[in-house]
Amino acid sequence: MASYVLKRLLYLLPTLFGVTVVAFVITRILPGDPALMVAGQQVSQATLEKVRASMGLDKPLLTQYFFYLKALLRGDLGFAWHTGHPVLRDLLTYFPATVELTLTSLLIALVLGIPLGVASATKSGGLLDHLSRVIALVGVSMPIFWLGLVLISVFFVTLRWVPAPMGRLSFAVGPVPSYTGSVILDSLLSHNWAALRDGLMHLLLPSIALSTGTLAIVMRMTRASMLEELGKDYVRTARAKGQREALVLYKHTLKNALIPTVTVIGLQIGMLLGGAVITETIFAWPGMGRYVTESIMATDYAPVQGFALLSAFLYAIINLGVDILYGFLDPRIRYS
Amino acid sequence: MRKYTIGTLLAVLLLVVALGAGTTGALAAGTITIAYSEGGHTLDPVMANDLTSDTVILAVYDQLVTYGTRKLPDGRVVGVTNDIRPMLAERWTVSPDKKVYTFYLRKNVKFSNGDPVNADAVLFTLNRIANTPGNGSFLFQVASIDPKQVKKIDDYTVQIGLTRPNAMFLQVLAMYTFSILDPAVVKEHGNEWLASHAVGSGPFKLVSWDPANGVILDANKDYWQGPPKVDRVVMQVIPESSNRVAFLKAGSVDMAVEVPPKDVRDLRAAPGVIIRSDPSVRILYFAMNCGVKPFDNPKVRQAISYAIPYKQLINDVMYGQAQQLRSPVPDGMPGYNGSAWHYSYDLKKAKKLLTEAGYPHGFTFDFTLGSGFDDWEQDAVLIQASLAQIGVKMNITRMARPQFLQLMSQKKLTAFISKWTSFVNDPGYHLGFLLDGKGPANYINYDNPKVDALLAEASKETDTASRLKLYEEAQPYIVRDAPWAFLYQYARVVGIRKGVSGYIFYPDELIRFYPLSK
Repeated sequence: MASYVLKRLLYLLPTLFGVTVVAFVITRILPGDPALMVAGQQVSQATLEKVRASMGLDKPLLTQYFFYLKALLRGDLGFAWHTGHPVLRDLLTYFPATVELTLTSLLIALVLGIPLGVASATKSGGLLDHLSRVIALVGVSMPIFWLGLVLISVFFVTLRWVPAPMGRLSFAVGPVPSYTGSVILDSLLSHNWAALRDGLMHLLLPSIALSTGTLAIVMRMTRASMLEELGKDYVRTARAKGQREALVLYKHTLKNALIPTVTVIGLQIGMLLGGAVITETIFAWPGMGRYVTESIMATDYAPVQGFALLSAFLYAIINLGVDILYGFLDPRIRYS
Repeated sequence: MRKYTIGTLLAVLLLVVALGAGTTGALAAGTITIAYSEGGHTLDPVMANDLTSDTVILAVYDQLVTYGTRKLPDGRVVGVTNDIRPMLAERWTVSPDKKVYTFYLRKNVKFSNGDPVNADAVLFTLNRIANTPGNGSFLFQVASIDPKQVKKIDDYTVQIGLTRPNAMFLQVLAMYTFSILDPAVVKEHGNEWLASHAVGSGPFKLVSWDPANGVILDANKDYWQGPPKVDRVVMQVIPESSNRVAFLKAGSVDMAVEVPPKDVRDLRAAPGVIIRSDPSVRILYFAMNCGVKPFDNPKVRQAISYAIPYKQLINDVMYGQAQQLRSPVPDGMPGYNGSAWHYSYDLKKAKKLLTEAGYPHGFTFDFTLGSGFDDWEQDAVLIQASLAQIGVKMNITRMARPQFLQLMSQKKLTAFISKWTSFVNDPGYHLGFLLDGKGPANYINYDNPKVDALLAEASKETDTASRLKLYEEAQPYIVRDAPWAFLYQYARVVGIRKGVSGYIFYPDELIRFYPLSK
């Protein structure tokens, strides 16, 4: 097991190297002149050239890449000129916000999706099944930005149930001390109940908007694999020996049915991170998605590259986690 | 057990939702909260060039000299950029040849960390500007400062030599770029540190800066001009303009900048809100590349200038929060001369000029629309419709701002709309950038030797009045050549809650927090 994980981690290195190349090339292909963005229009051509040289942009691309790689090996992701901070510091600031949003969405999707999937499988063709099918269809086909705007329009503009959809906390509530980077956990830890309520209210709409797609897929996937498992012999045997139906469903069948679902969840976390870019923009959520969008608009290379690298790393780690999880769900799966 | 956990969690979540939303409470007394559209890029005075960053820098740092103010008959107070007043320098003398300035610093002024503001700090600051590539070092050239002739005479006296007499020198010295830094702080923490931190001798101390959320500034109680009238200023980032308006109306913020023109009438009627609308020197123009056919023909450019529905742009797009631009130099900049402007909306005349130019049936051209500004798009569509009436087909291509700026600066665009605010409120700076044949921001190949000659002569003139006269003389040539259709000058709109006073409009559009009170 340990050697398997180690091997997988080693495989990660060439992947990440490839990502640095791709991210480097793509940022350079994007139109826009970083020196012009930094210096502004009110400089002479000669000054502009000096700015370009000071940013190392006058060197050949290969040399630039080499410098980037050299800095990277020292753990230096570069400097984001549009925020005035080192990229690593920015990512550490904005990453927890994205994680909080993503995990909450995933939680909503799982808590609602798995039971609904099981229920619609056991009562296949029933009212709940049809209802879940509609929810799934709507969830998959509704664009996040549209749902986000509708949620804002209904719950903020009309009903006034939630605070202004901007950021993670209202300014009036004030910042909470940062222990974990998660506003919810930090306000719990500091016993700041006003901040907890405000934080949850801020989190509510974006996480619902972000969760719908995943919820739909988790639900349909669970239903399909539950139906498949329910037709198998071991289920009949379990029922024949008089096992309680709840135990049959949740202990025997669901555990086996979850393997495809877990695969999908692994992939969905990647989707959620991608969807967070849109959600964060709509809800002015100060996370990585908004950060990278602003970086692209500012032609700020270093943060875009840093974001790509971090995302690739996360994606790989999550996939590794999924593979390990298989073993717990099905002890017959062996790692070599 | 596990089911209980999930159930409990859901119940807690629902309970919290049921408790309903807490609306933001009343604003704390002694704190002024101002809504900004963005959080700034860098607090390094030499590198900054966005409204938020520049504003923070002016709050935290002092400069050697500063701009005076004037009260207008209607009660508005505005900054006057050619009225230079003492700040850290309590007085200065100028040599007879106008090439050497000697500044006498105020004694006993300290940075907020206790370090003295002295000649060493001034020298350090100026040298740092000269040696940092960017708009700061370029301003050295604009002001003709000779980096080798910046000298310390004694602890509180500094001499600055110019390569030639320069009317813009003192005005440049008053800019945020020339904020006096504490050498000890920069030496201890390094240059990069200054991008996100600030220690100055100014009226406020930086508590925190987060580009995604905002800036908190606390009063510097030991400020040498006396403590500010408020304890704290919060600059809250609210990117959506409609949200800024909503917050202002609700009283959740004390002031809001970048108020959209369409909301001005509504806000004027709102109880508790005062709208300050000042004519700015921010201009918008429709540029035609004189190096590209058919815009190489002045008659074509004049024809276009007659076919632009100016009043419609100002009234329907800008809701009256703009005024007609009548010269490349905006009204409000010294040396402004709008007397030659004669382009009313006259399609017959436009058609006649097109025929004279050899395009009786019109022509087709490519227009590039840079993203990011709603009014540009609306202007472009209205102009497109109007030009169609004289047979001119304008193909609009939309483009993201970085790409737009790049192609524009490479002079590759045939026609576009762009805005401009000169950092230095001076016609020499302004025209030298935009319409001098060799101007760094002359993106449209405009080249009139007569204009260039007048600009060159003016830059050598040391007498202020004669100098401005030369710029006044140059403008009618440009207006007649019509390299731009002169669209409008924006108004600077700031929404202010009743009870907040001390707002002063400056042509650089940066709010000075020191005079504010509540």
